[in-house]
Amino acid sequence: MRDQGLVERVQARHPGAFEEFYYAYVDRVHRHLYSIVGPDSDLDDLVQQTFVHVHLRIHTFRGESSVTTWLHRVTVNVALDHLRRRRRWFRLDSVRDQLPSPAEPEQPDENADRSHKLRVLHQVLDKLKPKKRLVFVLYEIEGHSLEEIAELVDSSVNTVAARLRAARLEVRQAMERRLKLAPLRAVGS
Amino acid sequence: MSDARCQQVREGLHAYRAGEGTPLWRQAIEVHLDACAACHSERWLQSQLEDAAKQGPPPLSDVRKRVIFEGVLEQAEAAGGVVERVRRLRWPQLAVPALATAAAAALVLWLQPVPPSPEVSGWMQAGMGVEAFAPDAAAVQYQATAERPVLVLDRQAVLVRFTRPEGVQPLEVRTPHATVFVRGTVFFVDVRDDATVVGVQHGLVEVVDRSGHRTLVATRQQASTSTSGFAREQPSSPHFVMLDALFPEEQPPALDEPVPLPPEPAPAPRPRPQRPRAAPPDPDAIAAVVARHTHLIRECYESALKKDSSLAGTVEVEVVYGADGSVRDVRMLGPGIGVDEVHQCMLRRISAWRFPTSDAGHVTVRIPFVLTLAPSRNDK
Repeated sequence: MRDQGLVERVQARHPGAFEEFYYAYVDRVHRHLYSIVGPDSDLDDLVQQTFVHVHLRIHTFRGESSVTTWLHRVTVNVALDHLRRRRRWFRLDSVRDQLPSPAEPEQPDENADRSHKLRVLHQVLDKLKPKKRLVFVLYEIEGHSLEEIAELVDSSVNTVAARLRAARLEVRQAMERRLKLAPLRAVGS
Repeated sequence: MSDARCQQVREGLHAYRAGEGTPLWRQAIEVHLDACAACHSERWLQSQLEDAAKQGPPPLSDVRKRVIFEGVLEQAEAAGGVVERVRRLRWPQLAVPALATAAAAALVLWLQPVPPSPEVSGWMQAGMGVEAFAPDAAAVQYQATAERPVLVLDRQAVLVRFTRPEGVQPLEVRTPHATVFVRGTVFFVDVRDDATVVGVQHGLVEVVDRSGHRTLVATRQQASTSTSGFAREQPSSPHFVMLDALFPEEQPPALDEPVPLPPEPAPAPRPRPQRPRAAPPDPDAIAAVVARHTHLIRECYESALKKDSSLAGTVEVEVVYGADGSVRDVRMLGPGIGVDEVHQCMLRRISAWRFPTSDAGHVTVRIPFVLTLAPSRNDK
């Protein structure tokens, strides 16, 4: 109800209403974007784009869904656009080894191992096609149901489930390769 | 372990990790996980996903939130302004596909073209690869030699796309405060009372002020002349939005998506000809180019170390190079190490590098340079 009232005030261009809306949701948008696109130097820009879109399109919100769902859909679209553009980039990670002796601070083994694995996971996710990655992240990391995801990405549940299956398989295989895990296919020994 | 049992366990892992199921069922899962390495690794993968879910981004500080908020207002306002300005243009002179800014395009669709106001001058197709738009045409003069296009601007702004033809010298834009040298890019020059502001939508330009100070302005950067050289500014000018609308950036072909096949000329039973897929860029070849030039980057860094021996950090750079390997664009990503002199030195040098030729069209590569003082051998 509070959200609905706030949205109505934003739509009516009440002074300070958009600012209140922004501060009420900026952390949530930031977190969503991060979970979808991973660590990215453009994260602040994406937050900005999301709220620019909100500013320009808030009049189209008619209250048929909750404002958080509507905002999440906007966020997902901004993230998906970004992932599509980012797939055209090509990141060179190996350069740090070529440069003047990076003296990295020593980390406790467990933390180093954990952050290494998370880095690998993000690298593996970077290899997925944007739509597959989106479905995978929304389901596996954000914990949405298939039905919710279908609504968010404007697809059928079957399509979402197929993308999720394909994404899970790709992630598993890539993680096996990268981290030398026991192959998941070799069951029955 | 049977495949069927493994399959059952894997399907149940999602519920298991959510704490669901009876104690007996959970115990059965645990017994299986202890005995089956493959399912154990599946469980491990899921725990990584849990970690990823818990691992949020570093929180936004109040200052960053404020900066983003101000950016939102400026960008939203500018998008509204662009709509109004585009509406006032003479439509036959405006390439319709150029209206690419989504917000502007969506709104422009239902706006009716109107006759131009007297103060709106619109487009200048100057020749020699120069396409320019100036709100006040009287402020811009086109003066060209046989080989070099020159724009002279004494007030207001000009928005330009310059595509340098073979044999033509770089474009010069002269203002009361500076001269801008352009090899091929999309940019604006805005002359104010006491300064000239230059912003680049795409590409790289060099600016020299009346005192001989030089700087490079790269994609999505903005700089203005000042009494002591150049001041870097947030790329917040509304002219950026206008540039987006007038000169939308052409997207390079995606490297990892199939190249569309040409239509079949006639129905025939022969096999459909397969167009070869563009080979992806070779990371090793790119790394080799970078490795060959690291001494140049090191020089930029070491010259700044003389002033501040504690200087260290990562400078991430985005380079776009063409099929021939020449650099088309280079820009900083993020704040770098906070020393503009080092950043400019790096950008200038990288812009002269030659990357491997590529049949995939434009290649964009992001290069993080970790600049850290090497520990001396005596320390070991």
